[in-house]
Amino acid sequence: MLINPTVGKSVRVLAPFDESFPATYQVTEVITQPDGQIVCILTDDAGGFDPEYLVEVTQ
Amino acid sequence: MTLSTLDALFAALNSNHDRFMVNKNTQIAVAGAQSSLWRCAGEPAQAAQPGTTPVVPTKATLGALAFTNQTSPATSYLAWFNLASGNSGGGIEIHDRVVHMGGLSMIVTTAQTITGCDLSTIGLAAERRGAADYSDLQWYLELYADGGATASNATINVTYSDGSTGNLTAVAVGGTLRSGRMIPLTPLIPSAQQGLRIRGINSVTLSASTGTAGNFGFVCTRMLTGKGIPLANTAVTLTWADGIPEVVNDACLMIAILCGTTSTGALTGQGKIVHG
Repeated sequence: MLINPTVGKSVRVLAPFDESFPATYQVTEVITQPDGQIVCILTDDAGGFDPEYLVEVTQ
Repeated sequence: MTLSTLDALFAALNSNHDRFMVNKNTQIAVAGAQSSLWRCAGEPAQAAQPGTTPVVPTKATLGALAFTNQTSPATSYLAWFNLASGNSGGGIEIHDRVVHMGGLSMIVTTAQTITGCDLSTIGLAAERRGAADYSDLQWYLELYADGGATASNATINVTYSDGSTGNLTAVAVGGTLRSGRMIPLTPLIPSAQQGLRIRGINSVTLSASTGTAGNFGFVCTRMLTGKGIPLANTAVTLTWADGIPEVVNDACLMIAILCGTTSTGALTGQGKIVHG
């Protein structure tokens, strides 16, 4: 799970989405839904992901 | 085929048929994508949202085109329709809905499990299924109420025709998918499983909340026929010369539109299901 999601972080996508999104992406936007759910928008048109499906990639 | 001569077909067109009427409102859609008129108001009546338990809908299900079951060897055929759309471009499709379910949410990010959604065990009649390898059928993710705008992806876990299971390639489900939108699942079969068919749906997981719960589910259909829409408000006619697909007993006939623009277009006209 991605802790403290912020714009600019590099992330990998976790199962069950990793097969469709196997690359490393950057978070470009963090949206908080009216019900409190957080969505991280990723580069390369990968779409939106809940932080539970992301993990930070540290260089 | 028990209507084995043109004379018999012409006689049935004149005196042994069920006539259906179509008068459907337009609904918002996406150009180049299929949109079901199952939940669209008009005639046939707007269908109810399918429940969470997968079922085999029939001609008696609200929203289906009506016709009379026949006693073998007599059967039924879709031999004629004359339909006009308010839009130009695109196509009119007639499908038999063989299995459907709904009640799934576009704001839930945990796996949403579907129990009993398997063509091999749900009680689908062989004559509605067609080929034993399910190659006559197509599964769709279908919207019953609009989803939300926030970007999200759906990963769908399926059972294939050989009994193996796996995830389909993820498909985008954000951007406010509208009620009626049909996303075909066959193109989402990964390359490693090419050649297999989808036998059942086990679960769906969304990568993020779209922001609006909406209502979606899955429908499996057997497309019977289709006809292009060349001009707005100009009737297109399907005749026996276009081929007359058999309409088996209890088929749940619905109309879908391959949209040429951002709406389905009001659809009006009528057709005949002949018997013999």
